[in-house]
Amino acid sequence: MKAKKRITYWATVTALAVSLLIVLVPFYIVVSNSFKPYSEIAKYIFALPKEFTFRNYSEAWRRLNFANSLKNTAVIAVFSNVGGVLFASMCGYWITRHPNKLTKMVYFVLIAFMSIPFQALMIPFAKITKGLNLTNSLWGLSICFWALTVPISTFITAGAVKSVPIEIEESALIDGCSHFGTYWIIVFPLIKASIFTFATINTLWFWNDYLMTQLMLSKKALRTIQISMQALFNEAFFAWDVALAALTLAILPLFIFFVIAQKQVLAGASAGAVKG
Amino acid sequence: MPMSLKTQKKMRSISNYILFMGPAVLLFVVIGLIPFFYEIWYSFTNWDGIHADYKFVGLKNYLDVLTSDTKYWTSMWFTVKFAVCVVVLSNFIGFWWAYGLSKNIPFRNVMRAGFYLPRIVGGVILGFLWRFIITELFPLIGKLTGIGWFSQAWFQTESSSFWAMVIVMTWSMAGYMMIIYVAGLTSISSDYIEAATIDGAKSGHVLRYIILPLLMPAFTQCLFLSMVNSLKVYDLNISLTNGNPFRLSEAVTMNVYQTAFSSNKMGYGSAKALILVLVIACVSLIQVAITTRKEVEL
Repeated sequence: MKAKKRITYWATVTALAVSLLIVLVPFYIVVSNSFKPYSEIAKYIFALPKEFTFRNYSEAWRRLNFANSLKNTAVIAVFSNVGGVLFASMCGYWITRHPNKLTKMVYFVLIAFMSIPFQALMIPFAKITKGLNLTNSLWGLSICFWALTVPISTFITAGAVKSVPIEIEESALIDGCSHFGTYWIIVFPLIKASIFTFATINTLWFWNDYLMTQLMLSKKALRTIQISMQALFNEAFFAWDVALAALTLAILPLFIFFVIAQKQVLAGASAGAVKG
Repeated sequence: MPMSLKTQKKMRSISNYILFMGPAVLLFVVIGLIPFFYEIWYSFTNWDGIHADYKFVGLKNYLDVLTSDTKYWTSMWFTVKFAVCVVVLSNFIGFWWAYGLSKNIPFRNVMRAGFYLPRIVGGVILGFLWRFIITELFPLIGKLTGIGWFSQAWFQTESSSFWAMVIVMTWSMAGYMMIIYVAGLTSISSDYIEAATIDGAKSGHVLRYIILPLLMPAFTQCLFLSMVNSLKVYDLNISLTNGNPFRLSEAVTMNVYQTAFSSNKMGYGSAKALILVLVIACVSLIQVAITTRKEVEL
């Protein structure tokens, strides 16, 4: 019995290790080949580079206009979080603390909207954002992200506030603190972890968004990493050596982000999925 | 006339509502809700996206899609098949990873992060990365192992494009499913499992009669998320296959995008998009209803 148990245990460990290896192979292939000259890629795809070169990177950096794309993407990712952290979190707090017909209705509409895909509003969205002068502006795009992350951010804050003991807030209000002050001074620090969680999920979305971003930004100077990649892969003189370096450059910032904020990312992955 | 205390209090309460909920609700309504209702309205018109005047045409767009748009139904069938395959594969793999990791495995946190890593590669980058793997590495694997399937002419037949998309989506989705199953598994109290083991249940029975029923809420979530995400697929579609060959690997969103923004048929495109939304809503409601019924109360 014990021997059999040990066999199943090591079989599980081996199976997991092998599947992890398979999952990670694409990363290895792309990164290792991005340092090779073109002739070497075609010959030994599995091997580590013999002739280490950074030429692909300098070329990819230039063709992607990477410094600029990275800056645009970062501006969007940071600024788009402001709305969620400021407005949606306040909204979520108020909904939980003042349950009545109005707040319940707002909450219901927000939750229902979470299951509506962007495709369901895409066509008028393009027209309305143009009418509001939000297109071709990083700030305009961020404001749209504020709006479209309201449901998820409100939902997560509303849930988090439930676990904050209401007595602390009551005593603050009796002592003459305003609702606004009570929220920011007392409640917000207590639910910081949840705020981080939704900010992390949202940041991944902002960073990786393609469909909505390309509807709104058409100017070359405003390209995000995703848009620059799409442009690079559609160029006539496309070659894999430069493209692999470009892919590595494009994945690197998120990889660093994942390593640093791993806990929040993984917490967010299961929190975003919680049923309403 | 000075305001009574009651009105004053009411005024303050209203201003608090505006302060706390106003900005979020206003943004959401203008940029989220109004476009959604407009899309419903457009789907009953013949708007071309350029001219200001358009006519109400009733159900004509919907009838046209239903009766004569074979291209749309080809892409719908493609999308549904794609979603079913991705749901089955990614949940099967994600569940086994989570179940394996629930044992006392060395480096389990590193492994968990590693399995999740593909998920951070998003948007068009996911498809471009795999274009290289599939066109350059797969033929080599085919040559080395002798499995002809790997050496097929990728992206030149409908089925090769289909399976390419399924593989990549599964790669991206399985780790995500795993995280939710891990959360579900850790919430199961070890008391039940210990009690059953002491009563002589084998690990297969523990899995079948204790873990799986208690994990139903996680299954509900995972099936829903993987289903909706696959039915909505767009970025992966344009970056990996771009519809090749001959627009045969075109998922619905790509078809809608073409209709609305390349052929400038905004009204007709809206109807197509809303049919997709209806399909997503129906499929997910049925799925959630079925799996929720299987959840056990404790």
